[in-house]
Amino acid sequence: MTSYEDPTTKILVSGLDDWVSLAEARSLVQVARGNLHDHALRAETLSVVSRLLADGLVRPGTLSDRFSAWDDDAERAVERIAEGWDDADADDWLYSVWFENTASGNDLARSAGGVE
Amino acid sequence: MQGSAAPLAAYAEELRVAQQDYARGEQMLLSAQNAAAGAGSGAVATSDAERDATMQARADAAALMDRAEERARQANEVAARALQRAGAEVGAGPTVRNESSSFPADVGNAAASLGLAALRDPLSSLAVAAGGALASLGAVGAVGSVALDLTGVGALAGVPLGAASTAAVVGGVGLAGAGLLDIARHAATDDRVTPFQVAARNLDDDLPDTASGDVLRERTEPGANDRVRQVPDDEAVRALAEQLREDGVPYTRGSYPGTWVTAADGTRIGLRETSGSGGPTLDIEFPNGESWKVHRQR
Repeated sequence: MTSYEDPTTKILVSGLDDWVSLAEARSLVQVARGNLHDHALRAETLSVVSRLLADGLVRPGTLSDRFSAWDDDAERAVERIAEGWDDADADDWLYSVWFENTASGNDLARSAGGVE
Repeated sequence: MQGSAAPLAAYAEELRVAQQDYARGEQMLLSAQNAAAGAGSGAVATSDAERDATMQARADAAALMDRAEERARQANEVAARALQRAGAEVGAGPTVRNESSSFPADVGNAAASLGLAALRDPLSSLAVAAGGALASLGAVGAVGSVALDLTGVGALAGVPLGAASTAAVVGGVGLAGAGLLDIARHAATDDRVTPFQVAARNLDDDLPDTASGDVLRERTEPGANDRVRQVPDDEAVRALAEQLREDGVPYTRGSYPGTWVTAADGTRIGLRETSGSGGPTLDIEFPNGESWKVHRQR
């Protein structure tokens, strides 16, 4: 029996602890969905991220010495992430986008057993 | 309470239909991918019309899955509101789990999570916090006001559900909705419930069997959350980084606020000084695709 892992919840739980990179989000999707081809993994990761953004559970941004949220709305943010994934070196891009939980995201993560 | 039963019954039906649509979409997508793969291999002659048909099939599948998601999401909202009303009827008592998350919100969120979970993965095994939930289920039985079907009880109690059919599981969740209301009442008075909880995979046995994994087993302990390990302080994080990255090949990686090394076993290890958890943090990518973090004890 495969174990159940919902990547959206996993991302939120991880977000209680620390900012979540796009790379980590992709990894959580990969673990949850099994061995997906790169293209399918990218599509599924974008889908998961899109849902989190649309539901207002995370905000995207960049990380330097602190987290800086993007001003984009959810739709534009997803486009930007997808474009960057296409245009940039994917391996670099995966650590150029980070997510921070919103208060709602933190609530959901706690209800799923996450600990700060 | 009666007023909440109808929305929850509708929730069950909506989820069942949504799950079926989603599964159908997945099958369509798989078929389209297989067709495309066959064409790409040269094994099958491909005309423009066939390629168009494959692309259309993909688009149809994606649209079907999107609609199923939306359907489930809307059903979840209805269910969550019903549960919130139920919670409001009895009030959230002093047993609320934490200051920032009310019990009704917890239950509502759980309903939403479960709905999407049922949609995306037929609940092969859903880890659920037992204690309070099980106690509440006992109370439900004692009260005898609601008949929980077996699958519903299983879903709530965290019993592995892999053998149950998806439709039965989803239907069971809906039937258990009425049970949830009693659990809500019970939890708000003299018990504490964490309905659905994601199991944290952060134990020694969960770490990949690689040289880097061995080092983490030896020098770190499980953190609070999934795939997080911890050490006593910041210095221990840096010392661990030094050990893991010794003889590794350094490289830069986009705008990552730190440095990366590829270890001899293929594990990629990043060290950054900025983290939400405070202090330095190791980002560890194992060859199997799993990402782990190490930071100081919190």
